[in-house]
Amino acid sequence: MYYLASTEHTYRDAAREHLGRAENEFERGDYFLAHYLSGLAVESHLRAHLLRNAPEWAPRHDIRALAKKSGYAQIASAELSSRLSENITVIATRWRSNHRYYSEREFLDFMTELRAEFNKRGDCRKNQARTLFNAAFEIVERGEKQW
Amino acid sequence: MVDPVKEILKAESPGMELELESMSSGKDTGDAVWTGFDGLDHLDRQKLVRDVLRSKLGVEAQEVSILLTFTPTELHSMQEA
Repeated sequence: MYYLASTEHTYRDAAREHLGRAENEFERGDYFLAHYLSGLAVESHLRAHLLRNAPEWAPRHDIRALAKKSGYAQIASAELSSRLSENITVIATRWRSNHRYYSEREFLDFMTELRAEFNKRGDCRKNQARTLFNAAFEIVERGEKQW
Repeated sequence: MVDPVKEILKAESPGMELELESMSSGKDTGDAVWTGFDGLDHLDRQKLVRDVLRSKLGVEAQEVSILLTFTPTELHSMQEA
């Protein structure tokens, strides 16, 4: 059997690729997929930090736990701590790895329960996907700069 | 820094639950769970806790790195997933 173990480098590459795909899907108007890929990019990026800093810790698909255990917080300067905290909280609350099993209807119900982007004008689904993509972009970009 | 940060935030935000740990850099990271975050967007939550820390700790407030802010409902939803 062929099995390729992920490394910090493969996770970093995957994060960048997922982010690129998320942007493409957003432009195409597939906001559900853009949302899912944005969160997946963040999970992949945090896993890269985890393998570099704490490889003994076994992760789940849990952004909150990964943010705390991965060592990502070490890269946050005083000026960026608040912004990155905000972004990671957005991903942790709005993204689930099991969204890949959701129908569009279930996903909308999930976001409705969170009241995500309810106060903004325009297409709610587009706004939600944009918020998640922007948060993911800042998390991954900052992590890449400080790698 | 973990203990003073916890004391300040708990005193200013009754009922807030905090999980904080010190990193090798000496900075703190973790999360805060509080009903008072309900109805606030994520930017305002950060502003609230950072303003409290700055007012009490001054420049040392910068030793708090990533601090995630959740409502109990959000935490419950994440734990169920």
